Amino acid sequence: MPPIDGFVLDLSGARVRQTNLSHANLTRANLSHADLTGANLRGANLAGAILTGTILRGADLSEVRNLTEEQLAGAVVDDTTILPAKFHSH
Amino acid sequence: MVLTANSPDHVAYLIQISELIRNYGLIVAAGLGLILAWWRSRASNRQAIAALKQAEVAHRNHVVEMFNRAIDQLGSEKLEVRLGAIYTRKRISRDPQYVDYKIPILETLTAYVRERTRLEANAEPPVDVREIMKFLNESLSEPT
Repeated sequence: MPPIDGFVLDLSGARVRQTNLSHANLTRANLSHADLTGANLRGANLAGAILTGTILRGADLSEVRNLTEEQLAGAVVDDTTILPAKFHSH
Repeated sequence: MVLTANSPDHVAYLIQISELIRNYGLIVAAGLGLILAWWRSRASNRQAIAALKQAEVAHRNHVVEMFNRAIDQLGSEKLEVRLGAIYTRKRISRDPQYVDYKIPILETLTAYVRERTRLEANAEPPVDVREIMKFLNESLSEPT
């Protein structure tokens, strides 16, 4: 199914652990303070997504696109978070 | 030459006139027939278009009703009713005729996820939320 023009995902504050959003277009999505513990975000497009306070413990962010240092700095990550190669120094 | 009533020339003349009148009559009748056929076909077409429009309106009303009912059902205490509401929305959003509903459906479903899980303490979201998340992932997936 093609992505939907004009729709911006808002999961702010939602607790959606272990959810699968792999390869999803999450451009400008509001994921602030969402609990995405153990979520599969592999290959997702995070351009402009709000990740302030987003819990990404154990989440798979490998191959995510358009993720910036600033976005990641606002999120809650730990050793179990799988980050894309360019963030491996974190 | 003088034509008398019984002369052969007079008879031939009358035959010619009657053939002429018959031919013109046939042309006029054919013309009228064509006009009648065109008029009837136009009337039939109009009827068919009106019936089609009526069917479209009925179908649209049915979808609006399903959509509204699904909103109420999403607030039900019974899991099966909520799942039914989610499947109904999925079905509507996949119908190419109702692309206008797609965004409202996604927005109401994500609003439901936010509200339903805000106080959720379990490791995984409940079944209905998982079903919505599956649908969201399908809807937002980009070709790999």
